[in-house]
Amino acid sequence: MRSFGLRKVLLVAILALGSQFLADLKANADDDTITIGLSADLRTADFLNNREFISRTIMGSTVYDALFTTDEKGNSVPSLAVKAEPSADLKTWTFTLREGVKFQDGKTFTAKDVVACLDAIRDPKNASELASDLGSVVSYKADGDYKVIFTVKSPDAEFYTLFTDTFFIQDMDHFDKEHPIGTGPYEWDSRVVGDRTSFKRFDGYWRGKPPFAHVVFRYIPDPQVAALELQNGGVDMLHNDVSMYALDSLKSNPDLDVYHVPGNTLIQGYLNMEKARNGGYKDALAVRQGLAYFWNAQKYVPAIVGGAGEVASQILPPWQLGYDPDIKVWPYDPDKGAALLAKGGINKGDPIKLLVYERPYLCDLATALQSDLKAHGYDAQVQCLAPEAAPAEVAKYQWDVLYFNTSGRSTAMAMYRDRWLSRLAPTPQQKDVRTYKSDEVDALVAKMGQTTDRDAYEKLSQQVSQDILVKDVAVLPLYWENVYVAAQKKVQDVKVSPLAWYPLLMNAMTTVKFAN
Amino acid sequence: MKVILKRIVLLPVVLIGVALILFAVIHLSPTSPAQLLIADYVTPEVRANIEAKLGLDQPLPIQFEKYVVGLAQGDLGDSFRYRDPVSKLLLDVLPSSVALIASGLVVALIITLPLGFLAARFKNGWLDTAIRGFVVCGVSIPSFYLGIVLILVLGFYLHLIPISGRGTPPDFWHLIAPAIVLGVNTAGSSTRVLRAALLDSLNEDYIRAARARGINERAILLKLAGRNALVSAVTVFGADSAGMIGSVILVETVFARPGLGQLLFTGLKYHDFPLISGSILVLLIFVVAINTLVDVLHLVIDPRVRQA
Repeated sequence: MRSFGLRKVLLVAILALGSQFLADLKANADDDTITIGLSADLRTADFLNNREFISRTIMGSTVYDALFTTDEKGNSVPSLAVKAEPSADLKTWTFTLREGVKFQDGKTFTAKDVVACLDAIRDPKNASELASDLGSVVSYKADGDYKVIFTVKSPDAEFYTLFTDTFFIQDMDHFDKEHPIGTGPYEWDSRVVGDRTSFKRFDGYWRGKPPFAHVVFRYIPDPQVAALELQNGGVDMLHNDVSMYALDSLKSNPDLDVYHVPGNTLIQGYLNMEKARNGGYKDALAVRQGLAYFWNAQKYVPAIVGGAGEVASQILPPWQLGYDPDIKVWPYDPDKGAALLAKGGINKGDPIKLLVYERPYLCDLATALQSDLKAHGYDAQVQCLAPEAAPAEVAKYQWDVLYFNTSGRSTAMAMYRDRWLSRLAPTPQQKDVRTYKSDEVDALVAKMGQTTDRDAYEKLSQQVSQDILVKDVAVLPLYWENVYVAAQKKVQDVKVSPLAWYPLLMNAMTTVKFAN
Repeated sequence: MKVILKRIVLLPVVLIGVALILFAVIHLSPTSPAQLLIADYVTPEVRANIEAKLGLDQPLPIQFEKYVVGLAQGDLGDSFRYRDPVSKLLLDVLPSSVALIASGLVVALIITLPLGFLAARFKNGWLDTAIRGFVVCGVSIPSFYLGIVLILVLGFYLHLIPISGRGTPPDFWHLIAPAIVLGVNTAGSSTRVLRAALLDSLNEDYIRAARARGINERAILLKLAGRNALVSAVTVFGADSAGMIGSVILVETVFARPGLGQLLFTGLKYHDFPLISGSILVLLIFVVAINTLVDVLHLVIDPRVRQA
């Protein structure tokens, strides 16, 4: 009798727990809530400090709008600004703002809000991480309610692109970093650090009623676990955090769609120009050309990287204005490579140092080059370092090839300016961190900044690429990382942008919808 | 009792000592936390502003002094990464970790007690062999591996439990797998010790005397030998439970579960000194609390300790 009572209690407990589990599952499968899995947690909701791409992605796809956003081809298109007009000398820009936009607290958006946000970013007391990005701005002022006039230091035909998917507009009259208020499609709801950030629909959104009642970003650090969650329905979409190991199983799942395009993150091998300048090589150009001939891209990239990337021939992605189709992948010719290395003063038995900023596949790619160099008698050494330890080693400039990634920029000029003119190797501790220096390239990029003619711009860009890649052989492009999105079949109208992160989500949260 | 009081009194000294070691280790790193959190190039002026705001522009002794003074006032500083007070972040995730650790302890107890007694009762039988096999597995399987196996088997294939996350508290289902992982690891060594202690006790003279008086075997095992064996089992259980807190970091990360361990992992990843030290200090308090609890249990279980 006593044991029968215990059984009854156990049965009731199991039923109660089971019903809670089912209720949880039902809540997760709420038709009006989209749950997106990300590999990083929201760092901060504070618009002054969401420079990091994950925070920018989360906040920029929900609470905030920027003045410009990105279309699926990577172009800057109007958002809170409807147009940007330069003066003849390209040093003054007038942004015309959208009328009738409301903040989530009901306040009307005007030029004063833009000025207040930029003031807050530039205020040293706030120590905003975004302040650097306004370095080219001399001044700005509101001109009436819907115009902002900017003055810039030097002529810049692409100045407005600086405000694309960044410098979000917050209502500074009610600024609370714990409860951000913007003009975006979703209002701040709640956050559990290390777990999820939730947003709710803002019915007064200027583009129209957003498609979901709630948007939830779940932090799932392990991509394998995230893939399992997607397959089990725990999340609706995975965004560029798709595990390559799970790719086949995701693709074969009839309940899922997997999309991908070549992205704008370039994995490359920088060749050491600093060492060349310091007399470290007998003939530095010959050394760089020799190493380039040893890199067998067509063999190793597909074998090692698989579906995660596509062979790269240059530093601009194929879809970007300014890409040069005439620049091909460097041919694999080890005999020619050996001859050039000898010309450059590196003989068989001599050391060649390959330094790797640790990232998936990079050590393997470096090891592949190492094996070919060793097969030809060189003492090739690979050193793979964690991102925390690598900068100090990079700064010693004792390496011959540095394996590292370059995140993309929205335009060719921004790519050159930010990545080739400001720095090559990531050692910002130093005052001058450039290892690639070319007056000719500097002049060409400056010219790009002064032309609004697309054809002229494209030709200038192609000349820059020719100089960097063919004439100076400053870098070995290795591969473009593919951008993957995996989603439940019910998630429709997913358009994958090559700009891996934020632009896709920013647009997606207003265009993606669930099938009826 | 004196031991317990001494432990409580010494706790602040231990915490400051640990804080000093942590501070030294973190600041020996060549990479600036400001650089890690910015993760990209910014002008030297902006870097200087950020470092000043985080207090990183001060000499190390002053940074440490400020940190210790703040610690004494319950201020753990602001996280470099999250830009939020560490105490707020810790308080947010504390209930999740407490639930996980408590559930792990319960699972460990549920496994340890019956298996330990059964193994001793049926010494060298097939059941004992099976239990010893389980014990070896429990001790030797890494917690992250067991976590992945449970995710795959119970979560993915059988759909019995959620795969990851915390759910909406109170959520029992999201606790099952991580608690099993923590509990099995701890139960492995505790079961082995309990079995050995029981077997030792069963060979004592007073047990033989009890048998001679006709007391049944079940009562001998549970009431006489059991009570004595529990003293050593509780000691090992306490030590293993403290070890379990180390496993929390891995378990929370594998199961994408918010908590102290996951915060510590994030802190380590981004050289977020206030977050690292805050998380470690709270975990340390957990360890001290468990050890104190073990001392209290000793008092309850063993009259000799009470008399001493």
